[in-house]
Amino acid sequence: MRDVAFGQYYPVSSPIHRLDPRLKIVFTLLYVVTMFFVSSYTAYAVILIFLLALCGFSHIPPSAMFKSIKGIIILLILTSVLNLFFYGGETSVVWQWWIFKISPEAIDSALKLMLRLILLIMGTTMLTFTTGATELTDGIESLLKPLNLIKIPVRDLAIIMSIALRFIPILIDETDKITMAQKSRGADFDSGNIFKRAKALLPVLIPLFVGAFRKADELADALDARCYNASPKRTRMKKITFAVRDLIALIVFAALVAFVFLDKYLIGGADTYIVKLFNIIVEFFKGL
Amino acid sequence: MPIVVKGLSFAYSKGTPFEKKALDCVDVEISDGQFIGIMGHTGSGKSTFIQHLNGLIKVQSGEIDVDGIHLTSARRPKPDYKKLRSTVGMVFQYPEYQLFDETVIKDVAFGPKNLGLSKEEAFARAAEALRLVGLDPDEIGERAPFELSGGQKRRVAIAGVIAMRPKILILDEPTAGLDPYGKEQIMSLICRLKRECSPTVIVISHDMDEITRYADRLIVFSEGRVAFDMPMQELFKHGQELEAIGLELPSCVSIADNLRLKGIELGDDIVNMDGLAKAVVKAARERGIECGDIASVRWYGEEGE
Repeated sequence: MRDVAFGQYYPVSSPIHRLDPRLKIVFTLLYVVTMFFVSSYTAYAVILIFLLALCGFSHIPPSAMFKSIKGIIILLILTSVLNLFFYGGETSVVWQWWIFKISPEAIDSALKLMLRLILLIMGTTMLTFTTGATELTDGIESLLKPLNLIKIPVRDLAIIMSIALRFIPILIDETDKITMAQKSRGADFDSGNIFKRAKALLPVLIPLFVGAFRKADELADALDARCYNASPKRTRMKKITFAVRDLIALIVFAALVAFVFLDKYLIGGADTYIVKLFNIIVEFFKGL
Repeated sequence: MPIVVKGLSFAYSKGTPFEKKALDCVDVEISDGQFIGIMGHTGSGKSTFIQHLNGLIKVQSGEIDVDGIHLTSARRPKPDYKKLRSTVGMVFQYPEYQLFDETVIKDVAFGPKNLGLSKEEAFARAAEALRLVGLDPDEIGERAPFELSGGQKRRVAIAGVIAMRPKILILDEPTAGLDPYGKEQIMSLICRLKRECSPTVIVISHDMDEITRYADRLIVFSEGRVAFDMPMQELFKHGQELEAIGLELPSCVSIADNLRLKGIELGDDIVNMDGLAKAVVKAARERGIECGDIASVRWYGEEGE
């Protein structure tokens, strides 16, 4: 459990860490949307290169980024297998057995789906890797400010979100501890059928929930004790400002998004051109 | 059979940038019937060490032998974890946070049931364990653990481990977060358990004054190594070294040292308050001051022990 990377802050100093959190949040949202428009392997490759470059600039080892996939590995396998066998589109079936069919189109779609999920998780992980909880809250709060006009308590929503994020590693730690304690009382989590295993989790889940409620109560008291809700206008220690590096980041990111959309709608997938180019090169060498 | 640990090393997140060495070539031997105190600063590796003794952490390098059960880094033969966990009872920090069942008796019977005992047997053991920790199974057995007071909850949690009848009992800061009276009660409970069911006891503690009253031997961890493992009389001559690794001398030793500076020699073998009190009485008599006998320092209402 300790190895789950999602939702953790990677505490180093880098230009990416210092970027305006609002920008990073907007980028991440746009990134998620853009991922659904990626249509060619070339574009996937470009995005992967972009993420690796991001790792480089933010001083985060790429292995940490790749580890974030660990949490969705079952989902990944399940979706790609389902896609592989039950692809709904037009197919030129190569292999069929009962209701299972495999076709080049299905393989293509399963591969792309897998890449999309992997890149989605890795990209969004970069946000939490490079942005601390406080910055994240400040960023969300600042972005949602307009909603204050229609009487939505943006500040409270932002703090709720940041507390939820902050609690993920704490609860993981807690789960570890309780699991160990129950194991030392002879609890067995690794054998038996699925129902037995689910039941075996109760001695972990119940103390975990009780603990979470207790912690929430304590936190609420701590917030009250510091007069969290007392003054309607709260100032902050760190003001978010827009700097030159933010402008550079904006340009780079805009270029990436532009490439993906151009690739889909104008070029129609760069893959065919690359295959063509490859063929020409092969022909050229054959001609020699 | 004793506990023998040889060349035990362990690192968390091995092979990642977060790699953190927790234990570095630890050699310890613990014979039967000892009351061991383990001390050390936060992050000194003491918790990692005791978790190894219960097979909760897989050995990375080195060997452990607990009551004939052999733990190594090899995958096979697989050690008999069930037997290990019934031999070594482990009470974690704030054990009351691990209670989960609807009733106290069911929660305490969880361990014995996992050992494969029948329901009746498990409940009989649970009732016995509750009595051992000083709770009446008829009175609180059917209550929900969450209704109990803090001290009672901790007793119930300890009973949950005792019900497995471990020969070796390990407790990680059993008195953390209790008031002085509660601390005293838990510590005398541990002494009673040592006499009546688990002859070997290992206690992690941060409180020098407390642990020196009970332990036969102290093992001090620092930065993943055993820094000191010697009789307490010897240990407290290393006052400066202890302070360097973040531990304080017990107050009885500092009092004796200060008295020595004033010219009152009380002898070298003072390791706890009882010893100090006796030495003070003796020294006073030598100077012709009349005073009564002190059998034992009475702390906070010990249960007539």
